[in-house]
Amino acid sequence: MRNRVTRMIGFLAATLVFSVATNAFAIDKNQLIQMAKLGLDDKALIASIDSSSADELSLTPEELGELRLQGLSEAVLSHLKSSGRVKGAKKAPEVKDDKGTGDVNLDPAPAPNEDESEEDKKAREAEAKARENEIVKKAEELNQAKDDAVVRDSQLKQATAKLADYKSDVESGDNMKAARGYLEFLSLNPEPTSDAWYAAKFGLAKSLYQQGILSGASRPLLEVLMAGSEKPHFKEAFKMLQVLTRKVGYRPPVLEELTKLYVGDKNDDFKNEFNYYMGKFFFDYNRADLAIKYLSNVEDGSADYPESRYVMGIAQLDESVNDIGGALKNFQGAIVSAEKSKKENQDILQLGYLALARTWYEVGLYDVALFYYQKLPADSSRNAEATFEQAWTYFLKNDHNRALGVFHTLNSPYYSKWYFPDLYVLESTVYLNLCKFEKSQIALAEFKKKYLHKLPRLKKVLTETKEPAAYWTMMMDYKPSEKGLPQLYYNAVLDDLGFFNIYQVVKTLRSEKRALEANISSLGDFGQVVLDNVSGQLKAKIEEGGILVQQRLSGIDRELEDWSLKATQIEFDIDSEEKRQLEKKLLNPDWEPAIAGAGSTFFVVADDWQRWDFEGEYWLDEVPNFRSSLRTECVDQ
Amino acid sequence: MKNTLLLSVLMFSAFSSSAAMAEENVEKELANYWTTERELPVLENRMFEREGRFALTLKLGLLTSEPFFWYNPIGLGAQYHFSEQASLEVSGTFMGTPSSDGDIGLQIFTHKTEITDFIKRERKDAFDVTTDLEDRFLWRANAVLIWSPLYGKLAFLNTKLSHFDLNLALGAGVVQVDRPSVDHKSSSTEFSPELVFGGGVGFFVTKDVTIRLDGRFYMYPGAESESASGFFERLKVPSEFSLGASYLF
Repeated sequence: MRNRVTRMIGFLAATLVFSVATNAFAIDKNQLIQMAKLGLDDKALIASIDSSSADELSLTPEELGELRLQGLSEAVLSHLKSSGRVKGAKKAPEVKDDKGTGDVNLDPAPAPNEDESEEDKKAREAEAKARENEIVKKAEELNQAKDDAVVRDSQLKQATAKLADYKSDVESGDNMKAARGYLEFLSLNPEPTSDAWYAAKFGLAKSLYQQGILSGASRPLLEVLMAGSEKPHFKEAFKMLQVLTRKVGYRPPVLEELTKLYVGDKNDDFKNEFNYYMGKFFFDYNRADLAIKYLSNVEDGSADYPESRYVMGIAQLDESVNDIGGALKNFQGAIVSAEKSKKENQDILQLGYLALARTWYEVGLYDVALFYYQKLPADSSRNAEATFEQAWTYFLKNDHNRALGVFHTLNSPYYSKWYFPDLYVLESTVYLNLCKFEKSQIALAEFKKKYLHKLPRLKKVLTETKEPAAYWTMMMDYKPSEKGLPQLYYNAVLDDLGFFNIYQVVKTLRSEKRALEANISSLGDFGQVVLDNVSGQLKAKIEEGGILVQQRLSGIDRELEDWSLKATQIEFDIDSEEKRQLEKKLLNPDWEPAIAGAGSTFFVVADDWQRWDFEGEYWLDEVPNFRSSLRTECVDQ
Repeated sequence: MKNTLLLSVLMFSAFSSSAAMAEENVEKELANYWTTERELPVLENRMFEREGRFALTLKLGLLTSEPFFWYNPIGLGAQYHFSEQASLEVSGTFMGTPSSDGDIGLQIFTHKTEITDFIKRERKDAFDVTTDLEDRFLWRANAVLIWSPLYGKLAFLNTKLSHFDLNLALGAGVVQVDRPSVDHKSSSTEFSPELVFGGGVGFFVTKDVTIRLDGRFYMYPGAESESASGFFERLKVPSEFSLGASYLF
């Protein structure tokens, strides 16, 4: 009996782990970031972490990745992991005392005292008995656990044998049946480093992915990816990740960990895809230097090359890099490769031209900018933006006749859906510069009619609509009416890239939710968890979208107030300039309006050109070519 | 309970379909702003609009394809434009009155050809214009569908822009003819159905007035004779050109 007890004590000492009770105050992830930004060193941060209990400071792997992105050192991050503050991370064993014992007291029973009284002897024996009982109880519990483990191992063995069937189900498209099988297997808690666990996680991710339940697939997919690039399904999982990122915007900070994996042994196509993905990932997190590092590794001829050049060019324009020459070169590279690609990449082609035009505009080479603006095809949505920017370019280079021609273009029905409030103010200014006061007033009147007169309705909407979700619903259920949000402002929101992106994600999440609801019985508890997760994400995205709508509409409100002030200023200028011109005319009775050749534009007409007067019709081929032949009426020019 | 369930199902389907419609609407609107290729009409703010308008046309034609007579049909038509490209026209043309006393009498819109004059000279008093020759058209009425796929403008001597459209027409009608009998001993006034097809060009003078130049072919079964007794042998396709003016209401 004594020997049995001693063996058990040794066994317990080797297996039981104890926790330390500490006096703690609460600290969270944001405070850690704040402290790091304040310049506290690693020792101070570690001390703060230690002073917080594991319950109070509990981070997910994604949050850990975020801390890394925020600049916390590896030492601090390792400490977070080793101190058990990160879920799923292995906690370094802590030893309560040098004997390594647990909540069972394994100290030898006190030896009998020579002058021990009868009472002391009884107490000592009772204590020894109690201790022995406790040890026996623990031993029985361990035996039970061991028996349970044997049963579980047996079940696991049987379940592992079925993995091949589940794989066939996935391949034949019976996704939900496969997902159910994989979930059953994973509920047996297989060893996370085992091949079976890996196969099950991948199978689960793939079955959910194929079923369109992308959010549900994201968690197992992340685990598969993090298991290592040498694993058999890494490449396929990575391809799925690309789709998830594109469709539901899945790009948690923890994905930065992927850069620690070795992909040098993969084929060139994969390496290009990987480099493009990571480059775009860092670009999205505003880390231009890392984005450029990865994007520059994408090879010419690969499918992602045009995109990589374009994104790299944008990254090079970032203030921290400010490499305009490099950016221009990359935009050109993007255009050339987009033209060469098998199915001409119109998206990149147009974005490339627009980026070149904008960069040259910023540089101040307006003619070069105009050359690229005019490359945008008339039927592209981006043409409206390009044409509008052309108007500004002509305005800035004092080419009034062409600027007026572009204003006319933008007033055509082809651009009627776009929100360009400054168009009329700009037009009015050009007329003012040409001393065409009446036309200048007409342009301002048009601005007021089209934009300002509807402003009270916008203000009413902004006052009456409180909840972000209500803004989103307003956009989704929009019907033009005389009382609600004017269509022009509704259009301005639709033209916002942020809104478009959120709409795409909401659409995907809705379809995912429908797919989940249709299969909820097959997925059991896991399905419910994923469904709750998707519903939560959907709600959050709608809230985010609603906030964006609210911000855009508030921005329009402020913007129009500004333009209204500018319009008033121009009105004042018109009055004073009109008086000044009249005085000059009176003082100079011989003055006559300028004839051909006056004005700011030297109008060159090629031999094969023919003049077609505008009669009210807008023909698609003519719209980009309008020119004004107005001459200045200013006395002093 | 059953009714409540049914109501719930109906409400749910109505909600689902309205949500789907709203989504479709947003998608459609977003497509304006986020695509590399918008579907744009070639023309906006068309200057000469006809959709939903009626037109009245007065026209004078020239039909010279027949061997024994040539005509100047005078006609009136009414047209309704369903769209800028499609319309229905009902029109009628008058060419002459039935014959009497072996001659066509005084006719303003029907004229004898040189062949008729030659035969008359050869046969002298035995010549009877109603029995010796073939069908003589008196009037015709028809309804045609007009499709105008082409609309354009041209520069007239590089000084004036002129708008026009080109159209195709297809329809059916009826023609009344003065027809000799098979043995050429008597004649009678008969109706014959006909298929009408052709094309035309319209020049827009003002927003309400259009000048039209049309060509029409009328396919109808002609008079039966000893040499042509079968349906296909009797088929004739006279052609007519007309110049008209339309006023749009």
